[in-house]
Amino acid sequence: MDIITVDIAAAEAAQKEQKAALTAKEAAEKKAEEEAQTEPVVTVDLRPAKVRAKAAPRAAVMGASAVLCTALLFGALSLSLPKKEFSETENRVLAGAPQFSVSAFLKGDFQSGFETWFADHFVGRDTFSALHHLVQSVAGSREAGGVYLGEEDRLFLIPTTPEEENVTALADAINAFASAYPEQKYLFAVAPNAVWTQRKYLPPYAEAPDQQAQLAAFAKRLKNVKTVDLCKALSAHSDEYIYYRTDHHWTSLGAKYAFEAIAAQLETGPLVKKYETHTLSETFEGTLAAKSGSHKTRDTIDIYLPETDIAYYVNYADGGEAESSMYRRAFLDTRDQYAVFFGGNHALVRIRTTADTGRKLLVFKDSYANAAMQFLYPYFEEIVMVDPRYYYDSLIPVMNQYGITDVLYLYNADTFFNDTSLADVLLEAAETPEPAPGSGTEGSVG
Amino acid sequence: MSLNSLFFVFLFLPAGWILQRVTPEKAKNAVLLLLSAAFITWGSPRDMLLILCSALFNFFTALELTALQRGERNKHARLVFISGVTVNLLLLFFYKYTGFALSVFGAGRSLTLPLAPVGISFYTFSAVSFLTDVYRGDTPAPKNFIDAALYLTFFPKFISGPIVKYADFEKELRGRVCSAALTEAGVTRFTVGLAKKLVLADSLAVSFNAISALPTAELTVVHAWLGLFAYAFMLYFDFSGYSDMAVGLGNACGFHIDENFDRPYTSVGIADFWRRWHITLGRWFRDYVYIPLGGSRQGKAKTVRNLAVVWLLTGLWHGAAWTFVAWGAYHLALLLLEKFVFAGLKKKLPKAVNVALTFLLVILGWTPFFSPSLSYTGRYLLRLVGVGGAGLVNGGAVYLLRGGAVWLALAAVGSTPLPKALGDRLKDKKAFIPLKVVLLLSLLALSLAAMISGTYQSFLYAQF
Repeated sequence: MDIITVDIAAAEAAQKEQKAALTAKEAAEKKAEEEAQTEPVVTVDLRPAKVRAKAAPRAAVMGASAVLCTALLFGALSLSLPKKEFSETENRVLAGAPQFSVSAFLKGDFQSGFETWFADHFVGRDTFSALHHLVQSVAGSREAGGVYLGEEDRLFLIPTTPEEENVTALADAINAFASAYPEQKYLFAVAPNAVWTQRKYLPPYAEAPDQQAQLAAFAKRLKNVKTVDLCKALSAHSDEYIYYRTDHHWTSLGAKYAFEAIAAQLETGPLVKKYETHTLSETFEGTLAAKSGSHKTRDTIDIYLPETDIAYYVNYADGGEAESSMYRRAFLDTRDQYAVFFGGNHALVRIRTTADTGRKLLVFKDSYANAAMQFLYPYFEEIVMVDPRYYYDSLIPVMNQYGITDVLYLYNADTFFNDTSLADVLLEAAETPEPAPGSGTEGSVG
Repeated sequence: MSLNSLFFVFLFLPAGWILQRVTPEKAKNAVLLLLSAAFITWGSPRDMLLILCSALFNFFTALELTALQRGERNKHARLVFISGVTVNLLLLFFYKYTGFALSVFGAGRSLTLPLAPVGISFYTFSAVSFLTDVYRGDTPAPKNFIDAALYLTFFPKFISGPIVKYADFEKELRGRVCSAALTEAGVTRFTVGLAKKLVLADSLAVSFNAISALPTAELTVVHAWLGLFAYAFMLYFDFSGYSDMAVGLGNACGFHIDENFDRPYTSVGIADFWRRWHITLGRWFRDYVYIPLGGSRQGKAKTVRNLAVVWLLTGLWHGAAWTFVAWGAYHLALLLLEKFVFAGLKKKLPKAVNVALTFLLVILGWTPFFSPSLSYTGRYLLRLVGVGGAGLVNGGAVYLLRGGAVWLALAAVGSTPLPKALGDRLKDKKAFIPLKVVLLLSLLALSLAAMISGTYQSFLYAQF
């Protein structure tokens, strides 16, 4: 019981103390208030300057006035200034003003739409974002927006850790597809990302996955599919300009080294010996610059024209006329200059050539493949590029009617291991029993 | 809507402040109530409807209580009071604890429960304070619905407190002076709080999030401690920053909102810590649970029981999960040990040792608080002493340490009385006011930069 009574006494004493402290505080505050009240109780003074000059010094409310006026000014400017539709730095269409309706308001869609719109068009948006990244990097951070700020102003996309289930699904689908269509030859060519190949330029101690090990492990799971070691092919040139510094893609030079390794596996025969190179842009600032807010350097886009008589034209399944060039220069005037290759990604692209090799290549791909086609086309009568992320049709007609002889998987490791579309497209074609030619009944697969 | 959103700081705040400023004295409470209703409605019209019904219920219950009592308590009033509090608690229980309660009994996994209204935990505690203070006769029943509703929904404190007692708030509802000095102090306080949350706490969150995303098998000792320190300071600057914003906004409208923090990481003991950490919550539990149960006046056994009830509830109030119960139990154990076992020893130790020990015990206590499960807590605690993880240190840990060290150092200094002492010393200098303006605008710019950056995105995968 002693303890308890002591405890109560102590608690009461503490309470008294607190009360005393509080009353002292209150008294001090009251005093400050009273003092302030001898001044007029006006914080934002809208009276003319002359009148104000006569009034008491306004030093007492300088901080509050500065903050409230600044907030009001920035808010009002953000609402009233003309709006941009597209952000060059973020490489995206900015949010439009939300449409008010009672149901949108009740669901909260109007409010969130308004807040997004307000943020997207906030005055000085890019400047303030840059300020944030500056502060973070001064404080020692070497990453921003999912991007490593590497040595020599190189930017590296931090890869997403692949889900084991997804990787298994990919391997199973590729194997199932190869056994469903055994006539064709298969080659698996997935390139490591800059974060692996050029890891010596990463920030000190920054971690990067061992993509070589990931790819080697994956290759072991494939059956009847040859693989090409692009880690080896690219790391032999890791000091060269094989990846853009401000973008997550490889350069044409990087694609060329990969192509040479791929061609050897495809047994294309003698390669074109000479290329005519052109520089299309020296002002390329890629997606990594946009993501990280780091705008310190620019990239150069070169293209390689093989010295050959073989001509080609390009057909896009999503419409448009056939074109005689895979380079679409109009995209050099946009933010995403890498889209100069084919204008970006399409569900299906057919490149038909005058080559007389008897071989037709089907390429499952991401955007890395776009820069590799300039090297591959002279060796095939036709190249069909399928980007499963945008391809919603069946592959069965492609496999049965196009006369495909070779199939190539051409991706970068980060996209490939996290891809969730390829397996579905492959399995649909592998599992659906093929109708036997000329009959309506179900025939055996293969 | 949160107090640290672009929309709030750059539209709602300046427009709302001017509106209440130009409103004549008599209509001020009504305008503040309208602003609060707009604040809640903007976040969720459904929540507003619910809160409106609940506020009406509480208002009429309070009137009924006053009418029944006429100065003295009676059975009937007691019944009305208990049912009133129960309705409030049931609402909280339904939204916050149904899922947990069902999972305890092994059911309801597939059930989709409605989203809990934002701020329901704080709202409910305010409502209980409201009914109790009226029932006890500490304060008269509100004259009109506006006063009652404004206490319950006042927007600065609605989402995350501080939990103001109705008896305190009621005095200022009847009359308050919105002086220049108070406005200046309030806006200053708000700006500092905004920066504490957006610049300091959110930067610390980067380190903590990176570590909590790692599987525990990959944690080194350095990872584990870095994560613990980052979380401890992040939580403090996040919550105390938010409380600063609320107190500051209250001041700018002429209200004195209670302090929620008093440099808790310099406490000399666990009991002391709870007098300085989330002060208004501790006070609420003391006034409305601990003391009504008998406090420490009915013998050691009952004291222990009362403390146990309070700490179990405190744990559960923070979240409907066993991890929070464990955290509450941990603090209960520490308090009992401090009170009954180590009181003598504690007195003999130098103050610095007590402060260091308290800090260590408190931050260790955050482990269940941030853990997704108790088994994670166990593994994390083992990593702190180097059992089962990836060794003492590796490249990844050094990388994170380099990224977080500056923010940790700033946070550590910011948790001590130093910043305030520096401010007090500068107060009488001639350059103080221009210096203060520059500092406040810089903090506003940095906070704005953080807010903008949070909405920054580029459509990478559309172009990959």
